[in-house]
Amino acid sequence: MISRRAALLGVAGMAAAPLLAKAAKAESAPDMSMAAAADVSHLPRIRHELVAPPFVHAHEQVATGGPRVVEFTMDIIEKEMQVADDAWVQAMTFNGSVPGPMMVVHEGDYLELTLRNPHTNMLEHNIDFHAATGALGGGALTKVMPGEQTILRFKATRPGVFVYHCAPGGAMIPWHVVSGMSGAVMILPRDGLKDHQGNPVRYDRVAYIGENDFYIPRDDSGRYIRYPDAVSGYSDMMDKMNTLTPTHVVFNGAVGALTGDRALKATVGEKVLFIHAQANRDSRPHLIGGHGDLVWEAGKFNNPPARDFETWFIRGGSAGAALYEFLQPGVYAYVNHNLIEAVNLGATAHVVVEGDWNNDLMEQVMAPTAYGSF
Amino acid sequence: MKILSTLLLTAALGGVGMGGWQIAQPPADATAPPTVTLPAGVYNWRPSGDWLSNGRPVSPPLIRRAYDAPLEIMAYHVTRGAYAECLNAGACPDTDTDLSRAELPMVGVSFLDAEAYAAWLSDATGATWRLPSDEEWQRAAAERFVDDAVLGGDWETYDPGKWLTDSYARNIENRDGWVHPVQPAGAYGVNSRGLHDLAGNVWEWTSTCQTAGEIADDGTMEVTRERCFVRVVAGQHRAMVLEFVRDAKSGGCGAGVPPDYLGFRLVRES
Ligand SMILES: [Cu+2]
Repeated sequence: MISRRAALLGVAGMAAAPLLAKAAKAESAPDMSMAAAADVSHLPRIRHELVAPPFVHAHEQVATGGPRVVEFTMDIIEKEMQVADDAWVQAMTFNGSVPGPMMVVHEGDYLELTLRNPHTNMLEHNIDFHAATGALGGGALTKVMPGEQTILRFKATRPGVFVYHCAPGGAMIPWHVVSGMSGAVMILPRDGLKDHQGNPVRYDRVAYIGENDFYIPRDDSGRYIRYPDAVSGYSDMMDKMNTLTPTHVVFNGAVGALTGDRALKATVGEKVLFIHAQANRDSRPHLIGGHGDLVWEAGKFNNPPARDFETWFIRGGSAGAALYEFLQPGVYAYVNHNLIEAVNLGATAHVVVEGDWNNDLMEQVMAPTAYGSF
Repeated sequence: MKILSTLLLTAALGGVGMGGWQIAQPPADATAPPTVTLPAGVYNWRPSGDWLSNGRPVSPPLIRRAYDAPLEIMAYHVTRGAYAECLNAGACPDTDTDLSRAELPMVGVSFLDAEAYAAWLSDATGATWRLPSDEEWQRAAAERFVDDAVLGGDWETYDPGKWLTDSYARNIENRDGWVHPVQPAGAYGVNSRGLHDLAGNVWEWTSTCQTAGEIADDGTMEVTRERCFVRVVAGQHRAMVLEFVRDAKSGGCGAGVPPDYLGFRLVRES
């Protein structure tokens, strides 16, 4: 037996246990630092502090200067979160939010993430970047037990918005993802976004919408069960997950997380880049009263954007982007246009837009009055 | 987890019968399980865990051990009939495993279920029964232990891709595409120490916690982190499985093939 901490192998009550030190080297696992040997020492470094969604850390839309190493640090936090008035989930989170925070770099930059799993957590986690190449998106190189931390660096080679999520193996993968462990990165072209004709386009705001499907078990009386920790709910939630029928489909981790006081804000004439990420399940964003002017439906900026969409499709396990210039003031609903999911299960956000009404675009010619009165 | 239909099972057994496998008699009485006693002696041990040497991941060395005490361990897996006795006594959790065929190995058990069984059996027999450590399992498994150190390779030129593909290849070695039904006791034969059914399609819980540590230049190994929420299961390869997991698909085999079934056998303390 190996005894804990500072116990030396070979002296734990054994008659004789010579250690074969040479065997350790002869049969070593890969030396990744030497194999990779990527010399980024000449590159400037910049560090961004992450901010919780729907907001995104400050960033340049057009890169000034050459590639950089862009550093981020995330803590994985397991904690109970409220999903609805009557429903809670033992969430697993990147940096404490559902979805995890967005990281923005430019094509050709290196994204360098320090991923920390505090000892207060119960479970092993990792991160699979859909934007990264190799080693299961980095998942194979970032497994961290509670009390461990790791650093992964990958080169941002493909411009677009991409999902990241936890993927610790087997049934742990869907369980961690539907417990909240997903987020998105945005890799901007160095010279910024382009419209369908190749002309530069800029956005005034980013609205980062992470959509999550939750599978929260109920007790015999129909009440959602609240568990003391993630593990206690595991088998019940597994059964619920296997029905493929979510109890909640929400933006930003909870019903109403982006409505009311927390509604998104814009003014007439502003261009908002809506980034929609769904790590597990298909979705179909729709801006009620508005459109997608330029839509990168699959989220990858090397493809010219489509125009004038009413509804666009987000494949489960991907992120998409849609740019819209608000032309009228008022309240807009940004929904998953499966309206059962939008209205009954929670997938609705609101955008409150200030500005002057344009009667040319729409006018109420006659307010509703008694039938047959004119 | 339910066993497959009798028809399928019969077909599978017909197959192994033609392969010349010996089907041994399953243990009849839960409180008198057949055991084998390994004499004191020398054996090889490949520690589990994630090890770093000078900050770089390495396989732990193969360590020659000389143990001065014998080891008494069950010759067979704990059967469903045996587990049912514990269940009926109210001492073991109901795992939803189909217990109607008492002679089959008990599977679909978590580490916690296995611990409950060990406690009950200890009470019922007045002896101390417990799960083996990963090291004890290797000692008992002898030639049936599948070494899972990352093999060979040049330290200077090795790369993560090769490491992953080698690990994967080792993980799927000798695994066919199907999970076959659980076989009766004895179906997978006996090893040189007299233990039956090692490294078949039933993986076995051990008491060894998930660990990480460092290997110094002089070969000294120090465990720096230990997580007992996750235990080593042993079989055709080793996997790290959360203690409450009963279905091996939930195990920690990453992109590899997870254990087919989770079962256990116990050690009797002398
Ligand atoms: Cu996770």
